[in-house]
Amino acid sequence: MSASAITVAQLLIGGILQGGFFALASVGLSLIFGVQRILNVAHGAFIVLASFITIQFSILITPVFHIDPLYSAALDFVLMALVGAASYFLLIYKVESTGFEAPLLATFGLSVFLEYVIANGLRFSFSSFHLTLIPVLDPSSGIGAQPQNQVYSSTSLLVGPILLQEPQLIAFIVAIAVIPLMHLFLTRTYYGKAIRATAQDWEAAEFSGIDVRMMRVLSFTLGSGLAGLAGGIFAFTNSVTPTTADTSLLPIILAVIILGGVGSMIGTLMAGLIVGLIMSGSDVVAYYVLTQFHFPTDFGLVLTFIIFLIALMIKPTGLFGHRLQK
Amino acid sequence: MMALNFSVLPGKRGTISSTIVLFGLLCAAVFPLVLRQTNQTSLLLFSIYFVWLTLAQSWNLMGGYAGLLNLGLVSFFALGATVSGASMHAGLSLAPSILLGGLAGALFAVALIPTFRLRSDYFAIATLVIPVLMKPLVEFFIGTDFLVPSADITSAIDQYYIGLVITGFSIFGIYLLMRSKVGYALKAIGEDELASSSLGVNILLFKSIALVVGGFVASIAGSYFLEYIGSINSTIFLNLTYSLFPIFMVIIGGIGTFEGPILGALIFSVVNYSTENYFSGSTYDVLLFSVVIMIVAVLIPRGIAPSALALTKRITSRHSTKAVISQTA
Repeated sequence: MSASAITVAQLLIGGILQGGFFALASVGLSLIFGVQRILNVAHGAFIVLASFITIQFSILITPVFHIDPLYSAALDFVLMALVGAASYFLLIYKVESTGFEAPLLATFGLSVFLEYVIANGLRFSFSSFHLTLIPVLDPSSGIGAQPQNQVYSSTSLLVGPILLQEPQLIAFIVAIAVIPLMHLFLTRTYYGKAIRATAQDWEAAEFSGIDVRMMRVLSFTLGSGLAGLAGGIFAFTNSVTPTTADTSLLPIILAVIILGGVGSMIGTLMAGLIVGLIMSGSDVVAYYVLTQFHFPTDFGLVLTFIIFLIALMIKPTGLFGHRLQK
Repeated sequence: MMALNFSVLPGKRGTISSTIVLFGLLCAAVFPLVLRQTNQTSLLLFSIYFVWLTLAQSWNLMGGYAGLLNLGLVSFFALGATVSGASMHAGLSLAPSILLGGLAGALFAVALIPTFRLRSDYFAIATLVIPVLMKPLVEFFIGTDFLVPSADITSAIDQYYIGLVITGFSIFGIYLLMRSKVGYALKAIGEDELASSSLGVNILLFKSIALVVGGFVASIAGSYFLEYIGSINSTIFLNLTYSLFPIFMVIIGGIGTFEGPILGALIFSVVNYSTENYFSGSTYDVLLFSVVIMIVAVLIPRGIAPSALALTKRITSRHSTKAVISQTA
C-alpha cells in the first residue's frame, strides 16, 4: 500500500472507532427521548460530570488503592444513574407532561447548574462557617483535564500498518459490548418490553397494566447511567472542560440519535458508526480535495452535517427509525 | 406607527395590551429627554434590552404562532451581525448595512424551508445543529472578525433611538401581521395543523412566511447588536445564549401571545441584570440563574401572561365555580 492509502485507511478506521464512542454517548439520550419525548439537553452535562468523576478518581483513589482508573467507568454508571433518578423526581417528573418547551427550559437549567457545580463546586460560606456540599471537580483551570496515573492516553497498538489509539479502542469495545446488551434488555425482558410499550403508546400501555410512571423512571435512570458510562470513557479519549460536551459533543449526539431513529438501540449503534465514518471521510475529503481550493480543514464537520440534513430530507424518520406516533 | 387606529382592530384584550405597549414605547421615546445627558449607562442598558426584545419577538412568531420550534435562532442573529459588519467594512453606511443584514437572514430562512418536511421535534434538533454548520461557511465566505468602522460608531443616544425604532417596528409589524389573513392562518396551524390543512390552509406557505419574517427580524437584531457591542468574531455562532434566552423569555412571558415576549424580555433582563450586579465579582449569579430557570419551568410552564389572564378571569367572574370548570375543561 502506498503511504497515502495507509493514511486514508488509518483515518477511516479511526473514524469507526470514534463512531463507536458516539453511539455509546447517544444511546442513553435516544432511550430517554424515545420514552419521555423530552429533549434532555443536560445529557452533555451528565457526560462531562462523569468524566470529571473519573478524573478525580484517578487523582484521589488510584494512587492509594492502585485501582485502574478505567474501572471508575462502572462507578460513573452507578453515580450518574443516581443523579439521573434524583433529577427525574425533583425536576423532570413535574414538567414532562407540559409539552416540548418547558422540559427543554428545565433541562437547560439543569445543564447550567451541573456545569456550574463541576467548575465551582457547591460551597456556602457565612461569617465563620463554611459548608461544602460538593467540592470543585474541575482540576484543569480552564485548559482541559485528563485522567492521571494511567497508561492508555499515549499508547497505541500496531496492527499491520495501522496504528490504533488504545483509548479509542477501549471506547469502541465497550460500545460494541453494551449496546447489543441494551438491545437484548429491551427486546427480551419484561421491563424492556414494557419500556418499549410505553414509548410507543403510553395510554395503551397503561390500559394493559404496565406501570407507566415506573417505566419512565427506569428509562431516565438507565439513560443517565449510560451517559455516565460514556463520560467515564470520554475522559480517556479527550481532554475535558466543563463545557466540552455542549460545544463539540451534543450536536453530534443529536445527529446520531435522529439518524439512528429515536429509541432504536441497534439503529443508534449503526448511526454512530456511520457518523464516525462520515466525519473521518469528510476530513479526508476536506484535507485532500478542499484544501487544494483553500478551504479551511474544519469543513469536515460541515460536510458531516450537510450529509446528515440530506439524509433527514430523504428519510425524515431516521435511517433505522420506524414510523412513530405523534 | 402612531397614525394607526387600534380601535378598529378586533379583539378587546389585544387593543388594551397594544395601547399599553404603545404608551410604553412613547415613554421610552421621551425617557432620554428627561434623563441627564451624562447618564449614558442606563441608555446602554436599554439598548441591550431592545436586542433581547426583538429576538424574543422573532422567536414568538416562529415558535409561538407558527409552531416552528427553532432552537438555532443564533444562526439568524449571527448571520445578520456578520453580514452587516462586512457591508459596513465595505463602505456602506449604518442603516443600509442593518437592512442588508436583515435581508441576509430572510434569504437564509428561505434556504431552510425544505426542513419543514421533518417532524416538529426533529426540526428542533436540526435547527440546533445548523449554527455549527454555519460557522465555517461564514468564516470562509465572509470573514472571521467584524469591527464597526469608526465612521459608523454612534453616540449612546442615537443608538438608543435606533434600537427603539427597530423594536417598535418589530412589535407592531408582527402585531399587524397577526391581525392579517396570514396571522389567522398561522393561529389555525398552531391550533391544529391537520385540521387546518384539510380546510385548505396552505401550511407550507404560511409557515415559510413566519420563518422568513422571523429570520429577518432576528437578523436585524443581530446587526443592531454588532452596532451596540462594537466588534464580534465568528465564534458567536456557537454561543447558545442567543438561541435559548429568547425562548426562555417567550416561555416566561407566555408562548404565542402578544404580551409574552415583551413581558418575558423585561422580567428576564431585570432579573439577569440585578443578579449580575448583586453578585458582581463572583459566579453565584450563574447558580441562581440556573435554579430560577428550573423553578420557572416547574411552576409556570405556560408563562406569566396566560396564568395572569386566567387569574383575573377567575377573580372578575361572578360565577367563580363556572370559570374554574371552564378553565379546567
